[in-house]
Amino acid sequence: MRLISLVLTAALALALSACATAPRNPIATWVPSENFDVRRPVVIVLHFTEQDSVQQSLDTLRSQNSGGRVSSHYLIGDDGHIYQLVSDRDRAWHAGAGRWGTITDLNSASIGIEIDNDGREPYTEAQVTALLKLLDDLTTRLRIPKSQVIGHSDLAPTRKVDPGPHFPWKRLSDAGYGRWPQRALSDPPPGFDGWMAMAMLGYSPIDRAAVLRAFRMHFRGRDDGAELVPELDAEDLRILHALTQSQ
Amino acid sequence: MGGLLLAGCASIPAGQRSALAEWKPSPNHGVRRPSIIVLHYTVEDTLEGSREILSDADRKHPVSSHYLLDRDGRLLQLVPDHLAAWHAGAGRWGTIRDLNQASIGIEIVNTGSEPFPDAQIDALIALLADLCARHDIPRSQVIGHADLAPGRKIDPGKFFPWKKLADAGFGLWPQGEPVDPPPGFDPWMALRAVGYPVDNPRAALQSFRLHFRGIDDGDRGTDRPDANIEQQNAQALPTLEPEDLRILYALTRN
Repeated sequence: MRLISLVLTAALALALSACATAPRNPIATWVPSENFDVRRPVVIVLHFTEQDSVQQSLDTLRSQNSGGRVSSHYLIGDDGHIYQLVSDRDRAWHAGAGRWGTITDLNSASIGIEIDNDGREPYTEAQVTALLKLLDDLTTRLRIPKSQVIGHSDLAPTRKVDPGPHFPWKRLSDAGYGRWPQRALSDPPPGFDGWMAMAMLGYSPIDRAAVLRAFRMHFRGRDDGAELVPELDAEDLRILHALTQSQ
Repeated sequence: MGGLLLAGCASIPAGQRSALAEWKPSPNHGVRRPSIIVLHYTVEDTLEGSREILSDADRKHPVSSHYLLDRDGRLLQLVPDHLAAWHAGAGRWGTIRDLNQASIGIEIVNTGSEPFPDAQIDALIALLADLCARHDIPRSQVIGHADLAPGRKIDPGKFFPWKKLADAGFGLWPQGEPVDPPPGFDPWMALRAVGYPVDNPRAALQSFRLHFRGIDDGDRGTDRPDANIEQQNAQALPTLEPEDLRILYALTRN
């Protein structure tokens, strides 16, 4: 026992000295305050793996790939089994370049959840049930507002289409997660600016066709492809108007 | 304290895990970084007095900031950049609902009723350049405490030189010649698109004018914001002035 305690103490001292110097800024005088916490994530990002098996995804997310190292905090198999690969307090590498409103570094601000799905099939019942349990756990433990759940394509519409048009956003919303129109849809008043509403929700205005495709996958369950005409139709406007009615 | 210090260090395995999940650790991860910078004034008149407040763990509501900047440009660091300091409190800015988690907080020694000396602003700009470069933070991501907490906070106040920061490339500022927006332009949606919470419309407008016009509605008497959200009446949206509209229109087209 005594030896273990000594070894532990030595390891702790080593770890402390290893990281105690790094975070200080050389242009400032260091006068430490004890009033701080570890940074917590403020949003949850959902992905599909676009792979054939959970084992294949476990390998990809835990190794050095030819395409660069990637990871996520969680991976949910099609049987509903949940794996955790990265601690909640750490920054996993799942989001890549993109932004969601004022959040400009999604990896730093988020929890990433990969769902075992090849991108062409419906999500399994066991998987969605497990996801809802995990969202309940994360939003409770990490105090993330339940509305703060988005898809990878929402933050990176020009690059990504996951979790895709098969993802049951309405069901998540029924359980209290994510954004969804909270009242019966009605036509917005004249002059309603749908693209400004898009920006207000969080969509980056860089590429309207890509944004509209991501929006329709999320809120209308349809993929109009990369060549769609970037014009909002009456249903888009009704949904956007309803979404702007809640904070 | 030891546990908290250690928790900030990526090499220590004892982290946050879900009881619902099987642990299959991946080496592919790093440390969470800040993605926005929040500016405050201290109210407190001196560097030492401010430092004591920001280091006092025994207050009913302990507070802190990452940096504290004196009038002559002297800079103190109180909390490492990769940890969350306690400076923002309740509020939101666009999609960020918990500013402490995502931000660096800078307290600037100023009572709120005096201009900021050049030496202080020059040092602030040097610090912003350092932070944005090291943490890869877009230079537009610099806001005031009043922006995220309208009705509750007014710092860094009407004397803060946002235009000078914008000239150095930091923060939000209207680009190009200001023009009147087209008919149907919805300034309240524009305020939300910029990032302002508009639960309390008068307070949101006060924060906007402090930032972009150097005007404090609190000084104008009639437009004093009411901090009690429940008492706000949606019918009684305050009227925006033409200059407010031009600035907002320009900001949403940036």
